[in-house]
Amino acid sequence: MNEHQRGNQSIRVGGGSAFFNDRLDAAVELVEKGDIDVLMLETLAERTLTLLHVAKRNGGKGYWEQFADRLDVLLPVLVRHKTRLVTNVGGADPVAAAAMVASIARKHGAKLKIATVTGDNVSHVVRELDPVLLETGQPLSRLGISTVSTNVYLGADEIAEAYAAGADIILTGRVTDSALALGPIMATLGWKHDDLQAMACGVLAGHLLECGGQATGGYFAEPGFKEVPDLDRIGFPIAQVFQDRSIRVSKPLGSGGRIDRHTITEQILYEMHDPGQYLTPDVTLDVTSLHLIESAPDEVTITGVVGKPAPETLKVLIGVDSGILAEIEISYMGINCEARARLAADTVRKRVARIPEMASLEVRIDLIGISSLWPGPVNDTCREVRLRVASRVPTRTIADQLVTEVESLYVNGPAGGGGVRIGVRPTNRTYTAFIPRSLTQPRWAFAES
Amino acid sequence: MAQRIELFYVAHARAGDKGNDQTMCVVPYRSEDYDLLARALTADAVKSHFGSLVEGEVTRFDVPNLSAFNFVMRDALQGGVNDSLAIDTHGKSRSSYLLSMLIDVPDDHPGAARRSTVMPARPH
Repeated sequence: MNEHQRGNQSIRVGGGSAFFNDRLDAAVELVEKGDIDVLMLETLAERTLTLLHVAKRNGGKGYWEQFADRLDVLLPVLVRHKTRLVTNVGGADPVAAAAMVASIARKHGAKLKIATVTGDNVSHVVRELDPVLLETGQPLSRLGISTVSTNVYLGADEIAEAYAAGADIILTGRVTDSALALGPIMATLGWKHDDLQAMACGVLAGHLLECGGQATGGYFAEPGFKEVPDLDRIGFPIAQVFQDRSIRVSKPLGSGGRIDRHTITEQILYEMHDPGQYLTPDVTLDVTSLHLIESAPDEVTITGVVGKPAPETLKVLIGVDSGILAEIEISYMGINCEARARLAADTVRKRVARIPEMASLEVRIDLIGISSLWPGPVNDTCREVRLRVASRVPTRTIADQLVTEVESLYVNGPAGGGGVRIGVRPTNRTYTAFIPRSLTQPRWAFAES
Repeated sequence: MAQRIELFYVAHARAGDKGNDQTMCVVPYRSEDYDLLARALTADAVKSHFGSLVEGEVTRFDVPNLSAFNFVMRDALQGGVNDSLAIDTHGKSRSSYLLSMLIDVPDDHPGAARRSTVMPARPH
């Protein structure tokens, strides 16, 4: 096992996904060719967990069920290469997810130690505390709506303990994304929480891995200006973390993509506010003294990481239902197409305003190709335009009514409209609160096998 | 002598979102353009470029060790993924809008030469 050759001198962590449906072949390649000790899979966007709670409430699984098919492909590869797996795919029910993983392991004749991390569900604590929400500045109870999910961002301690105890697969619910890497790093290198620079180094490694291909040339290509070789088969990132608090970022040999100062810098700053204070439950990361060296082709070595004490409070995401989103589109082409789309928009607006239960709705109308993304006037001659009408509405009936108002443009609107597409789906939204660390009870356990 | 060209020819950028706030990093292709960008991309200039798209404050964090700037734009996403009715609720495409901002560069700047190879001359 590679881990034994490296001992406690370094650990190689692979970033195998940025979201639940990310490329599976790139994750398999990481395990097969990346010489990694552990694969991390990040799968829980802010609202994904709320959706899983909704599914669980409606009698479904609390985890993302399609993961079973993916693991069926991935697990034999992990076993063959003695690579461990840490993932937040446990969603709203890590224990149920562990049972699913155990059944797949049995199917492949693999004896694996599976562990779960729980304690992120803090609905009872939050109900009692009634914290002030970041978005509204008012206590949660003032929302006057019932919450669907209440999850705190846990840190890396429980993952580290489970990893040190020999877990081959660790399934969590909500943890801060970087903890999926920091846990194994702490366990392997013997790093503890009082060593702020060590914690910051592990968090930075996790931060670079949590978006998968975004560190290795994904989301970067500008044809003719900044090229990325073989975008169709980008290699996902590997962070080798050393005892001296340096990180070497690379990707599987022969894979597509690009690693250099530019791709790594974009990912270091990705979704950061103050680069001197990136808050996580484990440490506050400061990237303003980092030093990047292009140490080999498609390899960057990072030193100079700085850690500051972690915040006293932990961030909680509170998910609630937020109505039904209705989106309807229709296209116009050729001479005067923009004017016809604007006439269609005007027609929809006038009719919606006449319907009492819709009159107060916020309805957004975009001309795709003209004004859906770009705020100002567009000079190019317009050859086609797509009209999009979107509104968040309280009931399915009102959603259907709005659909009618746009769909009927086929026969009652301006000349030449075509290609109507309709999307109507329930939505949820999240609010943010902070709770004292002392009120959380994170724990880990081996799953029943 | 100076001329005005789009930031696109001097730097690249990546946008992210946190709630209703937009984050955006800007990295010059050539590290020696860092000071030029520090002068051109003031928080005020960037806020004015985005106009009504950004309702709140724009803050610029300088990260010279990475040869980069990080912008935080408050209340910039019409509610973001939670509330926005826009097609790009995350504002991910807005990095390209920032790169359309005009900045002054010396006549002999390689970005100006690059621009002239891909775009016809434009009066200014």
